[in-house]
Amino acid sequence: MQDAYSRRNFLKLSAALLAGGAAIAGSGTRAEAIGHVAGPAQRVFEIKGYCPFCQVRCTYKARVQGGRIVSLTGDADNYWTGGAMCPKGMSMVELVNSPYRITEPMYHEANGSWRRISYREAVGMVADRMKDVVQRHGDKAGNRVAMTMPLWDCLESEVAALMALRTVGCVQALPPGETCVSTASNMLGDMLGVNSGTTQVDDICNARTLVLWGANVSDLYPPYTRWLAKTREQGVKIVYVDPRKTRTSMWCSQQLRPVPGTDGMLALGAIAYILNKGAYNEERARFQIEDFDNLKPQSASATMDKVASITGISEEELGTFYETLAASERTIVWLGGSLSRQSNGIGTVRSIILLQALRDNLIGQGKGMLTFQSGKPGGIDELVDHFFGENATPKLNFRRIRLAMEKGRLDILFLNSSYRRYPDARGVRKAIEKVPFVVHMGFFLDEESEVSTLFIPAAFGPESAGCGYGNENQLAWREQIVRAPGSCVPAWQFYRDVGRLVDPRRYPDFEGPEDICRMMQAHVPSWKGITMERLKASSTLVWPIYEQGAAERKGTVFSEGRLLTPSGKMRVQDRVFGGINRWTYPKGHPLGRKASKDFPLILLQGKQLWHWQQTLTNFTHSMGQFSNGRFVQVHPKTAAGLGLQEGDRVLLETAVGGLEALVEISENVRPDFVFTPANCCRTTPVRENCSPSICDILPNSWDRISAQHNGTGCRLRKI
Amino acid sequence: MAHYIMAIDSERCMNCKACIIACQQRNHVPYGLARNWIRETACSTAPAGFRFQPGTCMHCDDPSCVRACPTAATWKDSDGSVKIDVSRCIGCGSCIKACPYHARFLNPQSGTADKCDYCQGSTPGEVPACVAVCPTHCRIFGDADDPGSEVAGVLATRKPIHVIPKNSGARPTLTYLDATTPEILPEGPTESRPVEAMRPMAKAVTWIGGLVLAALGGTFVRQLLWPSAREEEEPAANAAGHRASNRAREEGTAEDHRGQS
Repeated sequence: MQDAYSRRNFLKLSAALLAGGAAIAGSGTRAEAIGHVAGPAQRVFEIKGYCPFCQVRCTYKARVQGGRIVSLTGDADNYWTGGAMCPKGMSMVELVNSPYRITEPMYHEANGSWRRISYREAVGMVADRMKDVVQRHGDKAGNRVAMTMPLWDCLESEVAALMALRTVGCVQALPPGETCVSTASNMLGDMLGVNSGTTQVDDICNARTLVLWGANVSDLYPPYTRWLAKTREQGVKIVYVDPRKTRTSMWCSQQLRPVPGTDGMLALGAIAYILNKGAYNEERARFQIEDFDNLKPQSASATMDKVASITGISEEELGTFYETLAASERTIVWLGGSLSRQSNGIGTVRSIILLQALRDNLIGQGKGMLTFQSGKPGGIDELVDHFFGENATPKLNFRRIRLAMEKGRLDILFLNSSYRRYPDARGVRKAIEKVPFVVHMGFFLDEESEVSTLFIPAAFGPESAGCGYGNENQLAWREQIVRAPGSCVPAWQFYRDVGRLVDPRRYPDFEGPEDICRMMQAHVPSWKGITMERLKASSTLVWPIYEQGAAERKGTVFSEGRLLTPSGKMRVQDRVFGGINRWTYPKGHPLGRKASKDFPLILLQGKQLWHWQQTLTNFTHSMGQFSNGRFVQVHPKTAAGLGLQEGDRVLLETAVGGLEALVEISENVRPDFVFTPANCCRTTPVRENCSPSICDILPNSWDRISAQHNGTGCRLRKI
Repeated sequence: MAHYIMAIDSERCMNCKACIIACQQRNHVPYGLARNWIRETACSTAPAGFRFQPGTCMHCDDPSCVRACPTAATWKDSDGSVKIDVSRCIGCGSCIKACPYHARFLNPQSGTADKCDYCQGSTPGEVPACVAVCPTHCRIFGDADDPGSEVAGVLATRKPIHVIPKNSGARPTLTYLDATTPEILPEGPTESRPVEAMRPMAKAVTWIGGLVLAALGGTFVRQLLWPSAREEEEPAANAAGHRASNRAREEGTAEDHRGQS
């Protein structure tokens, strides 16, 4: 054997050790569980973006490295959010890189399988279908096509989509708020002349009293909690009306927990109390209420004892609340979405608006109404009309569209959002299945793709530039942050490509959202001052701005000192919606006249802080880590009566159907109702978010405006 | 040198968990694990039915995790934060067991201990992610030695509360303001004896390893500069060996024949 100890061998060994060591060091594992961790050589860029979910429209700075989003940081320059963000907004980091995302267009074969097709082929297919509808139905083609919104990326996508519909004369784009706040927006429009909030969130600091009437601000708009905290610190009295104890309860000085569905009676009682006490300025009240003399007789029956009996609130608590309203010099009422989701919501909202008018709490600083999902800059229809001529076709609500689908009168449905947001979702699905051509622009293989003919892979917000809008009518501009994978396209691109094929003569040619924005500035007077330069330089910019360089308009919309209805007044006895004196329980309510004894509990459903409806966030593990699936909150007394314990599995049943849920015992609900979350999705691979939609078991109840989601009877059966 | 402290107004926390996911994303912590938390205590008199207490590494003075580390991979820095040098961490888990707040965990991606570092590792110089996103501004962070800082202001004007696990002897610097629930935590873990024994052993190993490396280095240099006489002779010896074997093959030695028969 040769002697191994030599200079050559020693040097060889040393070199081998060094190389080996370097190789080991270089192959170290790198955490890739979240986002993308790029090598140290790649520079980090910060690019502004905004969250696509709730209407707070938080702006953020995305940290981008190696072409991918690494993390998000709230935009501290945003006046409305102060840099705050909530978990669902941050889930975007996971969503854009989701392994479950479908990135190529697909055609749904008759046997249920999917066939991958090219983007060009998909666009051609849609355009041919639209041309065919026009050919077969001529002037009546418009009502053979419909679209559900929202589109997830930007305002310009909405413009592009509406223009694509107009190429066949269609105006049936169903607003996302239809199932959320349309009762409130319609009533505000009817009575005040403005179909959204009449002031802005920062004005709550100027009030003496803030009534959060069913408005669970902290769960729905978490970043706006900072305004509640600020308002409380300034000594404003916050009264929260909600049967449930929620995060919002933390900020109020009084919480009233009425029997669900009885808010209208609570408001009527307040009107009666103030009238009886004479705590109003009659001249100011008559200035705003045309038939003021109707108010007293229509509210007279709402005596204190009757209100206490119906709402389940003690007379003492009612007295405190009513006295607060009677004495407050400036009161803002924030209307919760739930008021619009009960079939007696029209009366409830009308009574609350009249109460505000009676106390002269609509016109002026620190006065008015706020709603959820209220801000939407105007001008979109004006721009569409500019290219396609004025529209004379009435817009239909989803109830009418569903009927058209059931009767085979709809040829094309652009299904952009979840059909599961409508009650009786199973019935809705059956109706959609009768539509011969359903185009779903989405991200995942979900319930919507199951009923679709064509799947178009959409781009998430950060994958396209564009303009977002929020609750305060504020606009935020976003540059493209990252490139979309595969054949994913932003909605504006898809609808532009379809529109240009169907009607190249009228459909305007544009390169991207910036061009559309410039068209708005050129053709819509209220956008004239919203220049691209100003939009890009500002964190947010409040619409409207009529002149270049003009200041943003903030505060009350009644800047001329009168309501914005044609007469400057509202009516107690409305020609279409009647008066406020015929108060009833919501449809199917266990205490209602036609109640079934089989379903003795009231069913409430609602949002959870870390989920946005039934769609995207359900596909994220980041949100799944906080979820515990389909649960039902039950009061300890109710649980004891039914022999239920924490963690039991139950069947939550209504007259329409049932679904499995996990029992969570909590005093945050009253003994007469149960609560279950509105999110959850059957098709998600994330187990913690997986459950059939709650709308599967909600009856198809509507009032004259919107669908009912809350207040129907239910029962629990242990399984 | 700054002296960083985090103060928390837990009465403002609404348990939205934005701080948790912001931290996970900023610091690449796998979902399901976390550097920070919100402790929920059921309370029927609380407005939302619970009292919430956000928390994270307490950046203790004389921290038990530092004492427990056998490789000196974790230390209390002069800026007040407790840090980890992942290149020195062997993932033994002793610091994780030693922390009475359960503020540390084993990161399965890196195989090392992981904990809050005020985001100095991921985004040095920036406000920690949990502080930046909080909708109610319940976490306040900054240089406590800077009298103009917000954190110095709240520490000077509000009642400080330090939450300490029973019998832990911990000296946390994370400060709750005015009131928090709970004020005392259940008894936390203590260092295990095997780990305590490991520390002197690890020091000995470090010294011995160092000496061996020094010896190897010295030999390396020596061989480069002054190669040994034997090595100089080696090629000649090898050549002589080859000649001898060739000759034996030609002559057909007895030994060879034996080998072939």
